[in-house]
Amino acid sequence: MRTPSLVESINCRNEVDGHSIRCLLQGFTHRLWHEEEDHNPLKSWLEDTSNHTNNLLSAFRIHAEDLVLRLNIGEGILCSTTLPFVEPASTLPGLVAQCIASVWYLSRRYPQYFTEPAIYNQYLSFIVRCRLKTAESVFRDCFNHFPLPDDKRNELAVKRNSAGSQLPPYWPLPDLDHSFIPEILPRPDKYTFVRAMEYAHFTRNPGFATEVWFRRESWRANIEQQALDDLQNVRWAKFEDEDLLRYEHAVVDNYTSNREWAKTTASMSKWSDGASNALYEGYTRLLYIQTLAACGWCDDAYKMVLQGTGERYEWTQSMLEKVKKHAANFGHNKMYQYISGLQASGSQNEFQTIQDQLV
Amino acid sequence: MDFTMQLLTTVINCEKKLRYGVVNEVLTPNFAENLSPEQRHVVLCLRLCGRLNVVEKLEIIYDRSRERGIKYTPSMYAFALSAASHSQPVFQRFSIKVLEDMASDGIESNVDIRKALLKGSARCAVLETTFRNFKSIELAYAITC
Repeated sequence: MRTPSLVESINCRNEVDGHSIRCLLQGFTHRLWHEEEDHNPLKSWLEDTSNHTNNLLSAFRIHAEDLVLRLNIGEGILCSTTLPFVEPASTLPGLVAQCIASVWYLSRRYPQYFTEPAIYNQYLSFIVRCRLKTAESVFRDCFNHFPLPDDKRNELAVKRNSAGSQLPPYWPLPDLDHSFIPEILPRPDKYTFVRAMEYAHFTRNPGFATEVWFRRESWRANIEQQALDDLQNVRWAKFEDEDLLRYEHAVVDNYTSNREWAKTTASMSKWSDGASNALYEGYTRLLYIQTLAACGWCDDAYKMVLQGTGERYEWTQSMLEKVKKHAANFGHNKMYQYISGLQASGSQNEFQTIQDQLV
Repeated sequence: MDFTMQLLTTVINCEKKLRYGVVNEVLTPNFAENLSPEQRHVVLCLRLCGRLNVVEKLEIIYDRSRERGIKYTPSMYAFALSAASHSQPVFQRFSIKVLEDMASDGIESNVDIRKALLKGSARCAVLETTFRNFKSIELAYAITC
Protein backbone atom coordinates (compact mmCIF):
# COMPACT_ATOMS: atom_id res chain seq x y z
CA MET A 1 0.00 0.00 0.00
CA ARG A 2 1.33 3.42 -0.96
CA THR A 3 1.84 5.84 1.91
CA PRO A 4 0.66 9.39 1.23
CA SER A 5 3.39 11.92 0.70
CA LEU A 6 3.77 14.93 2.95
CA VAL A 7 2.25 17.19 0.30
CA GLU A 8 -0.77 14.86 -0.06
CA SER A 9 -1.38 14.69 3.67
CA ILE A 10 -1.69 18.47 3.89
CA ASN A 11 -5.04 19.81 2.74
CA CYS A 12 -5.06 23.16 1.09
CA ARG A 13 -8.32 25.05 0.95
CA ASN A 14 -8.89 28.62 0.03
CA GLU A 15 -10.52 31.23 2.22
CA VAL A 16 -13.82 31.57 0.35
CA ASP A 17 -16.86 31.15 2.59
CA GLY A 18 -20.63 31.53 2.26
CA HIS A 19 -20.44 35.19 3.23
CA SER A 20 -17.93 36.00 0.46
CA ILE A 21 -20.18 34.32 -2.11
CA ARG A 22 -23.19 36.28 -0.85
CA CYS A 23 -21.19 39.53 -1.06
CA LEU A 24 -20.28 38.79 -4.68
CA LEU A 25 -23.91 38.18 -5.62
CA GLN A 26 -24.93 41.25 -3.65
CA GLY A 27 -22.59 43.26 -5.89
CA PHE A 28 -24.54 42.09 -8.96
CA THR A 29 -27.88 42.97 -7.35
CA HIS A 30 -26.70 46.42 -6.22
CA ARG A 31 -25.45 47.11 -9.73
CA LEU A 32 -29.08 46.83 -10.90
CA TRP A 33 -30.35 49.11 -8.18
CA HIS A 34 -32.28 52.16 -9.15
CA GLU A 35 -33.81 54.89 -7.05
CA GLU A 36 -37.29 54.38 -8.49
CA GLU A 37 -39.13 51.57 -6.79
CA ASP A 38 -41.00 50.48 -9.90
CA HIS A 39 -37.95 50.47 -12.13
CA ASN A 40 -37.90 47.45 -14.41
CA PRO A 41 -34.36 46.90 -15.75
CA LEU A 42 -35.51 44.51 -18.46
CA LYS A 43 -38.08 46.95 -19.84
CA SER A 44 -35.62 49.86 -19.66
CA TRP A 45 -33.01 47.84 -21.53
CA LEU A 46 -35.47 47.19 -24.35
CA GLU A 47 -36.38 50.87 -24.49
CA ASP A 48 -32.75 52.06 -24.35
CA THR A 49 -31.57 49.74 -27.07
CA SER A 50 -34.51 50.68 -29.32
CA ASN A 51 -35.16 46.97 -29.60
CA HIS A 52 -38.69 47.18 -30.94
CA THR A 53 -39.81 43.61 -30.70
CA ASN A 54 -42.79 41.99 -29.15
CA ASN A 55 -40.81 38.91 -28.31
CA LEU A 56 -38.93 40.25 -25.34
CA LEU A 57 -37.54 36.93 -24.18
CA SER A 58 -36.01 35.85 -27.47
CA ALA A 59 -34.36 39.27 -27.97
CA PHE A 60 -32.88 39.03 -24.52
CA ARG A 61 -31.72 35.45 -25.06
CA ILE A 62 -30.00 36.31 -28.34
CA HIS A 63 -28.02 39.12 -26.70
CA ALA A 64 -27.03 36.94 -23.74
CA GLU A 65 -26.05 33.96 -25.94
CA ASP A 66 -23.93 36.20 -28.11
CA LEU A 67 -22.06 37.30 -25.01
CA VAL A 68 -21.67 33.73 -23.74
CA LEU A 69 -20.01 32.74 -27.01
CA ARG A 70 -17.85 35.84 -27.23
CA LEU A 71 -16.50 35.59 -23.68
CA ASN A 72 -16.36 31.80 -23.70
CA ILE A 73 -18.32 31.74 -20.45
CA GLY A 74 -19.22 28.04 -20.74
CA GLU A 75 -15.62 26.90 -20.52
CA GLY A 76 -14.98 29.33 -17.68
CA ILE A 77 -17.81 27.77 -15.65
CA LEU A 78 -16.64 24.20 -16.18
CA CYS A 79 -12.85 24.53 -16.05
CA SER A 80 -11.85 27.66 -14.15
CA THR A 81 -10.48 27.54 -10.60
CA THR A 82 -11.14 31.22 -9.96
CA LEU A 83 -14.06 33.46 -10.88
CA PRO A 84 -14.07 33.44 -14.69
CA PHE A 85 -14.42 37.24 -15.14
CA VAL A 86 -12.18 40.25 -14.79
CA GLU A 87 -14.41 43.06 -15.99
CA PRO A 88 -18.15 43.45 -15.52
CA ALA A 89 -20.42 43.51 -18.55
CA SER A 90 -21.78 46.87 -19.56
CA THR A 91 -25.21 45.71 -20.75
CA LEU A 92 -28.09 44.14 -18.86
CA PRO A 93 -28.01 40.80 -20.76
CA GLY A 94 -24.27 40.66 -20.12
CA LEU A 95 -24.70 41.33 -16.43
CA VAL A 96 -27.41 38.69 -16.18
CA ALA A 97 -25.20 36.18 -18.02
CA GLN A 98 -22.29 36.97 -15.70
CA CYS A 99 -24.41 36.60 -12.57
CA ILE A 100 -25.85 33.25 -13.68
CA ALA A 101 -22.43 32.02 -14.80
CA SER A 102 -21.02 33.04 -11.41
CA VAL A 103 -23.71 31.08 -9.55
CA TRP A 104 -23.08 28.08 -11.82
CA TYR A 105 -19.31 28.25 -11.34
CA LEU A 106 -19.62 28.77 -7.57
CA SER A 107 -22.09 25.91 -7.07
CA ARG A 108 -19.71 23.60 -8.95
CA ARG A 109 -16.63 24.80 -7.07
CA TYR A 110 -18.09 25.36 -3.57
CA PRO A 111 -21.23 23.18 -3.31
CA GLN A 112 -20.87 23.00 0.49
CA TYR A 113 -21.98 26.65 0.86
CA PHE A 114 -25.10 26.14 -1.24
CA THR A 115 -26.76 24.06 1.47
CA GLU A 116 -27.85 27.28 3.19
CA PRO A 117 -30.72 29.26 1.64
CA ALA A 118 -29.03 32.68 1.79
CA ILE A 119 -27.06 32.28 -1.47
CA TYR A 120 -30.01 31.17 -3.57
CA ASN A 121 -32.13 33.86 -1.90
CA GLN A 122 -29.62 36.40 -3.16
CA TYR A 123 -29.76 34.85 -6.63
CA LEU A 124 -33.56 34.91 -6.51
CA SER A 125 -33.41 38.60 -5.54
CA PHE A 126 -31.26 39.33 -8.59
CA ILE A 127 -33.61 37.47 -10.93
CA VAL A 128 -36.71 39.11 -9.40
CA ARG A 129 -35.05 42.51 -9.67
CA CYS A 130 -34.51 41.88 -13.41
CA ARG A 131 -38.13 40.65 -13.69
CA LEU A 132 -36.97 37.51 -15.48
CA LYS A 133 -39.54 34.75 -15.80
CA THR A 134 -36.98 32.27 -14.50
CA ALA A 135 -37.80 33.49 -10.98
CA GLU A 136 -40.48 30.78 -10.93
CA SER A 137 -38.05 27.96 -11.68
CA VAL A 138 -35.38 29.38 -9.35
CA PHE A 139 -37.96 29.31 -6.55
CA ARG A 140 -39.17 25.84 -7.52
CA ASP A 141 -35.92 24.07 -8.43
CA CYS A 142 -33.19 25.67 -6.31
CA PHE A 143 -34.82 24.89 -2.95
CA ASN A 144 -35.69 21.64 -1.27
CA HIS A 145 -39.40 22.30 -0.68
CA PHE A 146 -41.58 20.16 1.52
CA PRO A 147 -43.98 18.15 -0.65
CA LEU A 148 -47.49 19.52 -1.01
CA PRO A 149 -50.39 17.47 0.37
CA ASP A 150 -52.57 15.80 -2.31
CA ASP A 151 -55.54 18.16 -1.88
CA LYS A 152 -53.35 21.23 -2.28
CA ARG A 153 -51.62 19.75 -5.32
CA ASN A 154 -54.98 19.07 -6.97
CA GLU A 155 -56.26 22.55 -6.10
CA LEU A 156 -53.11 24.10 -7.55
CA ALA A 157 -53.45 22.09 -10.76
CA VAL A 158 -56.98 23.43 -11.16
CA LYS A 159 -56.00 27.03 -10.39
CA ARG A 160 -52.95 27.16 -12.62
CA ASN A 161 -54.08 26.95 -16.22
CA SER A 162 -50.52 25.93 -17.16
CA ALA A 163 -47.49 24.72 -15.20
CA GLY A 164 -46.11 28.28 -15.26
CA SER A 165 -42.80 29.28 -16.75
CA GLN A 166 -40.90 26.27 -18.09
CA LEU A 167 -37.61 28.11 -18.54
CA PRO A 168 -34.72 26.49 -16.64
CA PRO A 169 -33.20 28.43 -13.71
CA TYR A 170 -30.02 29.14 -15.73
CA TRP A 171 -31.86 30.74 -18.67
CA PRO A 172 -30.69 32.56 -20.91
CA LEU A 173 -27.45 30.59 -20.65
CA PRO A 174 -27.36 27.44 -22.80
CA ASP A 175 -27.43 23.97 -21.26
CA LEU A 176 -23.82 23.13 -20.35
CA ASP A 177 -22.56 19.67 -19.63
CA HIS A 178 -22.82 20.12 -15.86
CA SER A 179 -25.80 20.37 -13.54
CA PHE A 180 -26.69 23.93 -12.50
CA ILE A 181 -28.09 22.74 -9.19
CA PRO A 182 -25.83 21.09 -6.60
CA GLU A 183 -26.67 17.69 -5.12
CA ILE A 184 -27.85 18.95 -1.75
CA LEU A 185 -30.29 21.83 -1.93
CA PRO A 186 -31.18 24.22 0.88
CA ARG A 187 -34.55 24.36 2.57
CA PRO A 188 -36.34 27.62 1.80
CA ASP A 189 -36.53 30.18 4.58
CA LYS A 190 -38.83 33.13 5.29
CA TYR A 191 -36.95 35.40 2.84
CA THR A 192 -37.39 32.89 0.01
CA PHE A 193 -41.17 33.09 0.29
CA VAL A 194 -41.20 36.86 0.67
CA ARG A 195 -39.13 37.33 -2.51
CA ALA A 196 -41.12 34.80 -4.50
CA MET A 197 -44.38 36.43 -3.41
CA GLU A 198 -43.00 39.85 -4.32
CA TYR A 199 -42.28 38.53 -7.81
CA ALA A 200 -45.83 37.14 -8.09
CA HIS A 201 -47.11 40.55 -6.99
CA PHE A 202 -44.91 42.53 -9.43
CA THR A 203 -46.01 40.38 -12.34
CA ARG A 204 -49.65 40.01 -11.18
CA ASN A 205 -49.38 36.24 -11.42
CA PRO A 206 -52.09 34.69 -9.18
CA GLY A 207 -51.19 31.12 -10.19
CA PHE A 208 -47.61 31.48 -9.04
CA ALA A 209 -48.75 33.39 -5.92
CA THR A 210 -50.99 30.44 -5.03
CA GLU A 211 -48.11 28.01 -5.52
CA VAL A 212 -45.85 30.12 -3.28
CA TRP A 213 -48.57 30.34 -0.64
CA PHE A 214 -49.26 26.57 -0.66
CA ARG A 215 -45.57 25.78 -0.40
CA ARG A 216 -45.27 28.29 2.43
CA GLU A 217 -48.20 26.69 4.25
CA SER A 218 -46.51 23.33 3.92
CA TRP A 219 -43.27 24.81 5.26
CA ARG A 220 -45.14 26.41 8.19
CA ALA A 221 -46.85 23.11 8.96
CA ASN A 222 -43.45 21.42 9.16
CA ILE A 223 -42.11 24.12 11.46
CA GLU A 224 -45.11 23.68 13.72
CA GLN A 225 -44.69 19.90 13.64
CA GLN A 226 -41.06 20.33 14.63
CA ALA A 227 -42.14 22.52 17.54
CA LEU A 228 -44.70 19.93 18.62
CA ASP A 229 -42.18 17.10 18.47
CA ASP A 230 -39.77 19.15 20.49
CA LEU A 231 -42.45 19.81 23.09
CA GLN A 232 -43.27 16.11 23.34
CA ASN A 233 -39.61 15.34 23.92
CA VAL A 234 -39.78 17.79 26.84
CA ARG A 235 -36.85 19.85 25.69
CA TRP A 236 -38.50 23.00 26.93
CA ALA A 237 -40.40 23.28 30.19
CA LYS A 238 -42.68 25.93 28.71
CA PHE A 239 -43.68 26.45 25.10
CA GLU A 240 -44.86 29.77 23.74
CA ASP A 241 -47.12 29.36 20.71
CA GLU A 242 -45.59 32.27 18.89
CA ASP A 243 -41.96 31.45 19.55
CA LEU A 244 -41.51 29.68 16.23
CA LEU A 245 -38.34 31.20 14.91
CA ARG A 246 -36.07 28.68 16.58
CA TYR A 247 -38.03 25.88 14.91
CA GLU A 248 -37.78 27.61 11.57
CA HIS A 249 -34.02 27.51 11.95
CA ALA A 250 -34.18 23.87 12.93
CA VAL A 251 -35.99 23.08 9.70
CA VAL A 252 -33.89 25.30 7.47
CA ASP A 253 -30.54 24.32 8.93
CA ASN A 254 -31.27 20.64 8.63
CA TYR A 255 -28.14 20.04 6.60
CA THR A 256 -25.87 22.55 8.25
CA SER A 257 -24.89 23.44 11.77
CA ASN A 258 -26.45 21.37 14.48
CA ARG A 259 -28.31 23.23 17.15
CA GLU A 260 -26.44 26.47 16.50
CA TRP A 261 -29.82 28.02 15.91
CA ALA A 262 -30.76 27.67 19.56
CA LYS A 263 -28.13 30.16 20.66
CA THR A 264 -28.83 32.77 18.02
CA THR A 265 -32.60 32.57 18.04
CA ALA A 266 -32.78 32.74 21.80
CA SER A 267 -31.37 36.26 21.59
CA MET A 268 -33.57 37.15 18.59
CA SER A 269 -36.57 35.92 20.50
CA LYS A 270 -35.66 38.21 23.37
CA TRP A 271 -35.36 41.27 21.12
CA SER A 272 -38.57 40.68 19.22
CA ASP A 273 -40.74 39.57 22.12
CA GLY A 274 -41.61 36.19 20.69
CA ALA A 275 -40.11 36.47 17.20
CA SER A 276 -43.05 35.09 15.25
CA ASN A 277 -43.39 38.50 13.61
CA ALA A 278 -40.01 37.95 12.01
CA LEU A 279 -41.54 35.30 9.72
CA TYR A 280 -43.11 38.13 7.65
CA GLU A 281 -46.49 36.49 8.01
CA GLY A 282 -48.61 39.63 7.59
CA TYR A 283 -46.55 41.07 4.73
CA THR A 284 -46.62 37.84 2.73
CA ARG A 285 -50.37 37.48 3.24
CA LEU A 286 -50.98 41.06 2.14
CA LEU A 287 -48.97 40.57 -1.06
CA TYR A 288 -50.87 37.35 -1.76
CA ILE A 289 -54.25 38.97 -1.19
CA GLN A 290 -53.36 41.99 -3.35
CA THR A 291 -52.16 39.75 -6.18
CA LEU A 292 -55.35 37.65 -6.09
CA ALA A 293 -57.62 40.69 -5.89
CA ALA A 294 -55.79 42.57 -8.67
CA CYS A 295 -56.41 39.66 -11.04
CA GLY A 296 -60.06 39.29 -10.14
CA TRP A 297 -59.68 36.22 -7.92
CA CYS A 298 -61.81 38.01 -5.36
CA ASP A 299 -63.36 34.93 -3.73
CA ASP A 300 -59.92 33.55 -2.91
CA ALA A 301 -58.73 36.97 -1.76
CA TYR A 302 -61.77 37.30 0.52
CA LYS A 303 -61.10 33.90 2.08
CA MET A 304 -57.55 34.98 2.84
CA VAL A 305 -58.71 38.30 4.31
CA LEU A 306 -61.02 36.42 6.67
CA GLN A 307 -58.08 34.32 7.88
CA GLY A 308 -56.53 37.44 9.42
CA THR A 309 -53.00 38.78 9.35
CA GLY A 310 -51.35 35.90 11.21
CA GLU A 311 -49.75 38.57 13.38
CA ARG A 312 -50.72 40.20 16.68
CA TYR A 313 -52.57 43.01 14.93
CA GLU A 314 -55.77 42.93 12.85
CA TRP A 315 -56.39 44.12 9.29
CA THR A 316 -57.31 47.77 9.02
CA GLN A 317 -58.89 49.69 6.15
CA SER A 318 -55.65 51.45 5.24
CA MET A 319 -53.79 48.15 4.98
CA LEU A 320 -56.39 46.75 2.59
CA GLU A 321 -57.02 49.95 0.67
CA LYS A 322 -55.80 48.55 -2.65
CA VAL A 323 -57.79 45.35 -2.12
CA LYS A 324 -60.89 47.43 -1.48
CA LYS A 325 -60.41 49.24 -4.79
CA HIS A 326 -60.03 45.95 -6.62
CA ALA A 327 -63.18 44.63 -4.89
CA ALA A 328 -65.06 47.70 -6.12
CA ASN A 329 -63.69 47.29 -9.66
CA PHE A 330 -64.65 43.64 -9.86
CA GLY A 331 -67.99 44.17 -8.09
CA HIS A 332 -67.24 41.91 -5.11
CA ASN A 333 -69.63 43.52 -2.63
CA LYS A 334 -69.01 41.12 0.22
CA MET A 335 -65.31 41.90 0.41
CA TYR A 336 -65.89 45.61 -0.19
CA GLN A 337 -68.34 45.82 2.69
CA TYR A 338 -66.18 43.72 4.98
CA ILE A 339 -63.16 46.00 4.43
CA SER A 340 -65.33 49.11 4.81
CA GLY A 341 -66.42 47.81 8.22
CA LEU A 342 -62.82 47.49 9.49
CA GLN A 343 -61.19 50.11 11.67
CA ALA A 344 -59.61 52.97 9.76
CA SER A 345 -55.94 52.59 10.63
CA GLY A 346 -53.65 51.36 13.35
CA SER A 347 -52.34 54.83 14.22
CA GLN A 348 -55.88 56.22 14.57
CA ASN A 349 -56.77 53.35 16.91
CA GLU A 350 -53.73 54.07 19.03
CA PHE A 351 -54.60 57.76 19.09
CA GLN A 352 -58.16 56.94 20.18
CA THR A 353 -56.93 54.57 22.89
CA ILE A 354 -54.60 57.26 24.28
CA GLN A 355 -57.46 59.80 24.20
CA ASP A 356 -59.74 57.38 26.07
CA GLN A 357 -57.08 56.71 28.67
CA LEU A 358 -56.59 60.44 29.20
CA VAL A 359 -60.33 60.99 29.65
CA MET B 1 -31.74 55.20 18.96
CA ASP B 2 -31.42 57.11 22.23
CA PHE B 3 -30.21 54.00 23.95
CA THR B 4 -27.70 53.13 21.25
CA MET B 5 -26.36 56.68 21.15
CA GLN B 6 -26.03 56.59 24.91
CA LEU B 7 -24.16 53.32 24.67
CA LEU B 8 -21.87 54.72 22.01
CA THR B 9 -21.20 57.88 24.04
CA THR B 10 -20.48 55.73 27.07
CA VAL B 11 -17.90 53.75 25.15
CA ILE B 12 -16.37 56.77 23.43
CA ASN B 13 -16.02 58.66 26.70
CA CYS B 14 -14.20 55.68 28.19
CA GLU B 15 -16.61 55.47 31.09
CA LYS B 16 -16.32 52.33 33.13
CA LYS B 17 -20.00 51.42 32.88
CA LEU B 18 -19.33 48.45 30.63
CA ARG B 19 -17.81 45.52 32.45
CA TYR B 20 -14.43 44.60 31.04
CA GLY B 21 -15.69 41.01 30.86
CA VAL B 22 -18.38 42.03 28.39
CA VAL B 23 -15.77 43.52 26.10
CA ASN B 24 -13.77 40.31 26.30
CA GLU B 25 -16.81 38.15 25.56
CA VAL B 26 -17.61 40.18 22.49
CA LEU B 27 -14.14 40.38 21.09
CA THR B 28 -12.20 37.30 22.14
CA PRO B 29 -13.72 34.84 19.65
CA ASN B 30 -12.83 37.15 16.76
CA PHE B 31 -9.18 37.57 17.58
CA ALA B 32 -6.09 35.55 17.05
CA GLU B 33 -4.02 38.56 18.06
CA ASN B 34 -3.35 39.71 21.58
CA LEU B 35 -4.64 43.24 21.83
CA SER B 36 -4.00 45.77 24.55
CA PRO B 37 -7.04 47.20 26.42
CA GLU B 38 -6.76 50.42 24.34
CA GLN B 39 -6.73 48.49 21.09
CA ARG B 40 -9.73 46.43 22.22
CA HIS B 41 -11.52 49.60 23.14
CA VAL B 42 -10.93 51.03 19.67
CA VAL B 43 -12.20 47.83 18.04
CA LEU B 44 -15.34 47.92 20.16
CA CYS B 45 -15.97 51.52 19.09
CA LEU B 46 -15.41 50.65 15.43
CA ARG B 47 -17.83 47.73 15.66
CA LEU B 48 -20.45 49.86 17.32
CA CYS B 49 -20.12 52.58 14.70
CA GLY B 50 -20.59 49.96 11.99
CA ARG B 51 -23.62 48.44 13.66
CA LEU B 52 -25.22 51.79 14.35
CA ASN B 53 -24.30 53.08 10.89
CA VAL B 54 -22.70 56.25 12.26
CA VAL B 55 -19.78 56.47 9.88
CA GLU B 56 -18.89 60.10 10.70
CA LYS B 57 -18.10 58.92 14.22
CA LEU B 58 -16.15 56.02 12.77
CA GLU B 59 -13.82 58.36 10.89
CA ILE B 60 -13.38 60.52 13.99
CA ILE B 61 -12.56 57.50 16.15
CA TYR B 62 -10.14 56.16 13.54
CA ASP B 63 -8.31 59.48 13.18
CA ARG B 64 -8.21 60.28 16.91
CA SER B 65 -6.99 56.84 17.90
CA ARG B 66 -4.18 57.05 15.37
CA GLU B 67 -3.28 60.54 16.56
CA ARG B 68 -3.05 59.19 20.10
CA GLY B 69 -0.48 56.72 18.85
CA ILE B 70 -2.53 53.53 19.22
CA LYS B 71 -0.92 50.94 16.98
CA TYR B 72 -3.23 49.34 14.43
CA THR B 73 -2.95 45.59 13.82
CA PRO B 74 -4.25 43.83 10.64
CA SER B 75 -7.47 42.74 12.37
CA MET B 76 -8.09 46.31 13.58
CA TYR B 77 -7.78 47.54 10.01
CA ALA B 78 -10.20 44.78 8.96
CA PHE B 79 -12.71 45.93 11.59
CA ALA B 80 -12.39 49.54 10.46
CA LEU B 81 -13.02 48.62 6.82
CA SER B 82 -15.86 46.28 7.69
CA ALA B 83 -17.56 48.97 9.80
CA ALA B 84 -17.21 51.53 6.97
CA SER B 85 -18.73 49.13 4.45
CA HIS B 86 -22.18 49.93 5.88
CA SER B 87 -22.09 53.32 4.20
CA GLN B 88 -21.68 53.54 0.44
CA PRO B 89 -20.49 57.16 0.14
CA VAL B 90 -17.93 56.93 2.94
CA PHE B 91 -16.47 53.53 2.12
CA GLN B 92 -14.60 54.45 -1.04
CA ARG B 93 -12.90 57.48 0.52
CA PHE B 94 -12.23 55.74 3.84
CA SER B 95 -10.87 52.53 2.31
CA ILE B 96 -8.27 54.50 0.32
CA LYS B 97 -7.14 56.23 3.51
CA VAL B 98 -6.95 52.94 5.44
CA LEU B 99 -5.00 51.21 2.66
CA GLU B 100 -2.53 54.12 2.59
CA ASP B 101 -2.08 53.91 6.36
CA MET B 102 -1.56 50.17 6.10
CA ALA B 103 1.11 50.68 3.48
CA SER B 104 2.90 53.27 5.59
CA ASP B 105 2.76 50.85 8.57
CA GLY B 106 4.17 48.10 6.36
CA ILE B 107 1.13 45.84 6.85
CA GLU B 108 0.09 43.53 4.02
CA SER B 109 -3.58 42.81 3.51
CA ASN B 110 -4.72 39.48 4.93
CA VAL B 111 -7.90 37.51 4.23
CA ASP B 112 -10.00 39.42 6.77
CA ILE B 113 -9.03 42.71 5.17
CA ARG B 114 -9.82 41.36 1.70
CA LYS B 115 -13.22 40.13 2.92
CA ALA B 116 -13.97 43.55 4.38
CA LEU B 117 -12.97 45.16 1.08
CA LEU B 118 -15.17 42.68 -0.80
CA LYS B 119 -18.13 43.52 1.41
CA GLY B 120 -17.65 47.25 0.91
CA SER B 121 -17.10 47.11 -2.84
CA ALA B 122 -20.15 44.86 -3.29
CA ARG B 123 -22.32 47.32 -1.39
CA CYS B 124 -20.98 50.20 -3.45
CA ALA B 125 -21.72 48.12 -6.59
CA VAL B 126 -18.19 48.55 -7.91
CA LEU B 127 -18.09 45.23 -9.73
CA GLU B 128 -14.51 45.46 -11.05
CA THR B 129 -13.20 45.76 -7.48
CA THR B 130 -15.65 43.14 -6.23
CA PHE B 131 -14.38 40.63 -8.83
CA ARG B 132 -10.77 41.45 -7.98
CA ASN B 133 -11.33 41.09 -4.22
CA PHE B 134 -13.19 37.82 -4.64
CA LYS B 135 -10.44 36.39 -6.82
CA SER B 136 -7.82 37.44 -4.27
CA ILE B 137 -9.76 35.56 -1.56
CA GLU B 138 -9.94 32.52 -3.83
CA LEU B 139 -6.19 32.64 -4.31
CA ALA B 140 -5.46 32.91 -0.58
CA TYR B 141 -4.96 29.39 0.72
CA ALA B 142 -5.17 28.09 4.26
CA ILE B 143 -3.25 24.92 5.00
CA THR B 144 -4.73 22.34 7.34
CA CYS B 145 -3.02 19.09 8.30
